Amino acid sequence: MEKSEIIKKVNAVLAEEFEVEESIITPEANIKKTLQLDSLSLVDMVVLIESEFGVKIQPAELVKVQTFEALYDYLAEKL
Amino acid sequence: MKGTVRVSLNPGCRVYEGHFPGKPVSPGVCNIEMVRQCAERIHQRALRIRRIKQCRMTTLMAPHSHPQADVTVEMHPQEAGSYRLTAAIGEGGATWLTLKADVTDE
Amino acid sequence: MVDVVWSATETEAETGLTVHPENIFVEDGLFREPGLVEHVAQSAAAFAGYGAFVRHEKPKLGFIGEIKDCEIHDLPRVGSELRTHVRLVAEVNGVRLVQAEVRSGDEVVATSLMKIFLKDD
Repeated sequence: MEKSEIIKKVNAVLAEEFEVEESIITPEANIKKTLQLDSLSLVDMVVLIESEFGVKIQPAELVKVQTFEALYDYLAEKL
Repeated sequence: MKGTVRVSLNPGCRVYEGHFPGKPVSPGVCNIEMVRQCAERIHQRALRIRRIKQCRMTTLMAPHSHPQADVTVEMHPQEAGSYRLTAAIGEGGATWLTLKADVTDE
Repeated sequence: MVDVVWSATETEAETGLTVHPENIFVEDGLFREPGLVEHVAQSAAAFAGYGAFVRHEKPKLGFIGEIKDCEIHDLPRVGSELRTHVRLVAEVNGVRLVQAEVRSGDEVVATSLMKIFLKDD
C-alpha cells in the first residue's frame, strides 16, 4: 500500500471513530492528545487499525508510535 | 424523564469483604446495579436491562474515598415498554461512570 | 462468580458457573443482569490469571473498565449451568479487551465485549 493511501485511510477511520475533524490530524501531532485517548480508548484504536489494515500491532512496538507520522511509517513498514 | 439520586456507599457492605480483602472497591457491576435501582426509583416501576451499549468506568469507586455519589438518569421512551437510558455517576463535576443502555419494563 | 475453568490457552478460555439459590445476584429464582456481567468479568479475570500462572507471574486484580455491546437475552434460572467462552481480542498497556459469550445449554443468554484493566495487588 502506498504511504499516501495509508495516510488517507488512517485519518479517515480515526476521525470517524473518535469524532474529530480530519483537519486536526497532522503528521507531527500527538495521537493520544489529538484523539483524546485514555487507556481504554487506546485499545479501541489498536483494534480498529488492526482490523482496517489486517495487521497485528505488538503493544511493545506501540511505545514508539506517538505521532501520526510514526503511525503511518509503522504501517508502511508492515504492509 | 430525568432525575438525580444521591447515594451513599456503605463501608460495612458484605461485598467489600471479597472485593477486595483489605482493599474495598465497589465492583463495576454493583455500580451498574446502582444505576438500575435509581432508574427504577425515578421511573417508579421495575426495569430490566436488555442491552448495555456502552458503560465506561474511569474511576474506581471506594467507600472511603467516594463515600457519596450523585446518580443521574435520563430515560427516553422507545417502543412500548422500552426505554433508552443514559446515566452517569459522579460528584461535583467529576464523572466516574457513564452508561448507555436499553431497558424494558419488567 | 466462576466455579470452574474448563480450558484455557493464551488467547481463549472456557469457564463454568452453576447458579445457586444463595448467589447474591439471584432474585425470584432468576440470575439477574449484574450476575451475568460479573460472571463475564470474573471469567475474563480467571482467564488473565491463567495467563499469569503459565508465565509464572503473580496474578493481578482485574477491574471492569468498559462494557460494550452487551446483550442480555435471558435471565437464567436457579440451577442453570452456564458455560462461557472468552476470547482475547487485544491487550494494550495492561488493558485487556475480551469478547464473551455465555450459554445455558444450547441457548446463548448473553454476549459482551469487555475491557478489563489489571492492577498489581
